[in-house]
Amino acid sequence: MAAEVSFSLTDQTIDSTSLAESLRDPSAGAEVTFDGRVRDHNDGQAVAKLEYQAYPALAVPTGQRILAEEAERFGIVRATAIHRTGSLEIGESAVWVGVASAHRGAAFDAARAIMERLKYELPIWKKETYQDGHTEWVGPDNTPAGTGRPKDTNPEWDADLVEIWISPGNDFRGHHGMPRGNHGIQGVTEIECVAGMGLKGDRYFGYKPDFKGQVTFIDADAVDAVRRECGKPELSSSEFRRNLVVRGADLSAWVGKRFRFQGIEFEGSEECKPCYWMDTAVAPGTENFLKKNFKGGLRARILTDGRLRISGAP
Amino acid sequence: MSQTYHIQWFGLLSERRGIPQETIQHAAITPAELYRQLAETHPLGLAMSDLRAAVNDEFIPWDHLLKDGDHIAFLPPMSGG
Repeated sequence: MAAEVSFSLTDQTIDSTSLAESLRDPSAGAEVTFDGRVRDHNDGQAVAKLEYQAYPALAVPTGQRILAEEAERFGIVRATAIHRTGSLEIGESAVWVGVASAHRGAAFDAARAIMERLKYELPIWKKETYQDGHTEWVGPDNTPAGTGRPKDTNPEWDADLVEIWISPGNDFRGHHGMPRGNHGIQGVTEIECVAGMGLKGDRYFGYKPDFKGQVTFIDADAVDAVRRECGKPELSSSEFRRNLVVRGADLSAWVGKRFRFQGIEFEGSEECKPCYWMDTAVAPGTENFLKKNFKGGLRARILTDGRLRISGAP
Repeated sequence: MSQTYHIQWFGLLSERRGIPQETIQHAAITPAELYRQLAETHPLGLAMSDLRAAVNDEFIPWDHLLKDGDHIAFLPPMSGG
């Protein structure tokens, strides 16, 4: 059954009491609501007031789509969100999110996921006015949107994107002592990266806040090395269940560092260590072979939104 | 041959451009080409990789083919919440 979802914009004070009442549903044992209010400081500066400018014709359908997607993903019954526009004083509600679900786990998770996506995907822009009178358009990470952001200085990879793989579910994770899963894996020519969330359509999209493995990279040369090592020249690189097969980047150099790839910013988090399932999925000995020289690849967080495309794709 | 485009600027870009919207005649046929050329004549100061583009109120890829009369919006990094 499709969830009831409702997203709107308002230039009036948000009435959270009546919004919360609209969530009531006999099948829902859990309601989680979030109220985002204007804070009197940001980034070390005293804030006097702020203003939201929206692109309503795009913001409303975008908000509606976010609610519908997250409601479906978490199996919740109702989701409502509303965002203010115009001028706001300190302490006023800027955004309100409410979800109703059969159980609390899904309600907390869905509310969090919706809120994170609204911050990064909703075409709304925040302008802060500080106590000293100056103003600044701020980005989703609350830093100035246009003045020497450090992100612009992070190095861009001079590498090719060879293949993109996404999968709707886990085949190995959580399957210890059981047969592997078979969710299938899909090769695509382009993919949408969402900051803080992951790759749209992949099993780890929105998996948990600040997740280290929002995206995984593997070196095409490592895949070739495994093919040679186990005598399987036809082995598909999808068997490794890494998202992005790249050529020309030294993945081991990017743990704990920020980089840009096709203009999108990432932060390497750790080596993507192979697990024992690799011996089943590929060939005995693959786990140990991948452990050498960072061949298992790199796990990373996504810091900015954008689309990745296979190099040379039309 | 040039086409008519209705352009909307938002957030920092509307401030840098100095106006919220304008209608122009231009030969560019993709949002990428259009932005690149407008950024040469106006002090927009934001890299295309930081922006998204919308045409007729839908997000589109930068290489989308523009039609005469399209409404184009250039969107700086969003900051809801």
